[in-house]
Amino acid sequence: MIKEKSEPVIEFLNVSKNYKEIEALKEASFSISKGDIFGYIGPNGAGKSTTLKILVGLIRNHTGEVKINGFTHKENPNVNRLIGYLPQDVGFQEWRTVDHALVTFGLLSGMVREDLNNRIPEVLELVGLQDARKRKIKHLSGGMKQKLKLAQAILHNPPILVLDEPLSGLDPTSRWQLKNTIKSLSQTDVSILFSSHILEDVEGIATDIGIINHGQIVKVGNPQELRDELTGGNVVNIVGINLAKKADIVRDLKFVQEVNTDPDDPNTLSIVLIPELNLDDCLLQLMDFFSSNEIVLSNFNYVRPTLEQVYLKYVMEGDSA
Amino acid sequence: MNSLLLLLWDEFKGFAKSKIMIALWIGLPILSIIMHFLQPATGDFPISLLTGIFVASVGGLLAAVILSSTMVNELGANVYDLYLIRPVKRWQIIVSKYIAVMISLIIAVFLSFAAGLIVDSIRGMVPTGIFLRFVLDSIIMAIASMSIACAAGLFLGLVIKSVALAVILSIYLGQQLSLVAILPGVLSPSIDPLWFSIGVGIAATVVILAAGIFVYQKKQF
Repeated sequence: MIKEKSEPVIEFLNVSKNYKEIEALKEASFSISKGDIFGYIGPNGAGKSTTLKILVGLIRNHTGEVKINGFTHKENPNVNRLIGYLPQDVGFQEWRTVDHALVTFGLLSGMVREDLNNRIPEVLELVGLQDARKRKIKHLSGGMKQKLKLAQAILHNPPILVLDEPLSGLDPTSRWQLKNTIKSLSQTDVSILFSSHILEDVEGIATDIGIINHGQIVKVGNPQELRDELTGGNVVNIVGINLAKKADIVRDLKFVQEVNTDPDDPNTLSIVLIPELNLDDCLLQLMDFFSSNEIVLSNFNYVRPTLEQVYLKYVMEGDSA
Repeated sequence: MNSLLLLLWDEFKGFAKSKIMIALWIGLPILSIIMHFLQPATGDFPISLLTGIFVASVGGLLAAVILSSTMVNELGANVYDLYLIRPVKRWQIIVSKYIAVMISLIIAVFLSFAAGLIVDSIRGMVPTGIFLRFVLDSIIMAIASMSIACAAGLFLGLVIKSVALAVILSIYLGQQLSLVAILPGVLSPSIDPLWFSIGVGIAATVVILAAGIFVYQKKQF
């Protein structure tokens, strides 16, 4: 279900960034509302990390405007306190223990020691690092370091999380756990922007998706909108004897937008339903129609386009342009 | 707590825990005492003079190398991104690192000096009066020159991406620049060597650190 949007907490307005002759970001615009999970996907080198670094204020000389809770970094330098950031390529000073690193980051974020003493165990449990609190960072595995990155990002309870490839380097169990953590954080009204070049990462948890390619945001929308746009509506593929002959009467149904036949296979029909109508009602009426007309079907398949198809369409369009 | 103080305390703890600083605080004073006994020409010299200056000069160079290699490594690993997204200024990172190393070095120098004094007192050769003043002046001049070496090491760590190159240059340039604080005062009788080295040490350190901060402010992420 698509929830109603509240005031945006992140506004990215026509932001461009060049590295000498390379246009890393071109007129990028999007917004994220409270409690949203914005999945930011694109191939490697598309401009995802640049976008995120601009958002957290690490890159400052760009054009366009970035607002967090209505303020730019210049207007209110303290907006960064509202953000928790998990960078993609970042190291820790490895002589520190997990606990020492979190205490330092917490104090630098403005937390007080007493709060940290309570918060650190909570956060470590949330990311699954509770047994590593006293361990030196140099003795952590890659996956554990990734979890520590998330721990430092959520430590000060920021209302906005900016996660750059948060699931990379994690084993399947940890990926699943972290996706659940991200989901549960968004349920507490935390707004999350997370980037990935793997579609599977954003599928199922993102409320909105932005696709970036060659520094340009080529599409923004919620997953259903993106799928609908690709197919032009919901598609049902059916198989039965000589169904092609029934194409005209199916086409006349009021909830059907289009019927396609396959010249090589007279037994299949592809029915495109009108996207504005309720999908469940349309499917019920379609099945009623076949049973009342005694049309026997050997297969009835509702085709849900995958995000991968959507992604590939936009990315490949950009590559061929 | 103020970000600078927090970073400074943190960096100091980091250096204090590192094996290199342990070597500097314990190994070098012992080495300088051993060297004293191995070198018959210094037999009449107080050990405290030798240990203090030895640690200040070797330690200064070592610290410059540590600073440059640490900066190259930590900048390369984007370690400071996690600081800069918090209310931490870029200059605070540089200044805290520099001060932490200088404090560690000064502790090392005074530990060596104290160790030398203990041996001197056993030998009944504790420097007093003008000789003690000479010892302390020499140590202060050595600290002034190592301050320049450390600032140079830090600057090189900020502008160079290769650890090997940064280390080589900080050894070479660190040595050359640190002489600026000492040589004119030693060679020219009209200059007070102590105050000259203090003045030049502070001025050169400030200029080099300011240049480093400027470079880091301009750095693109």
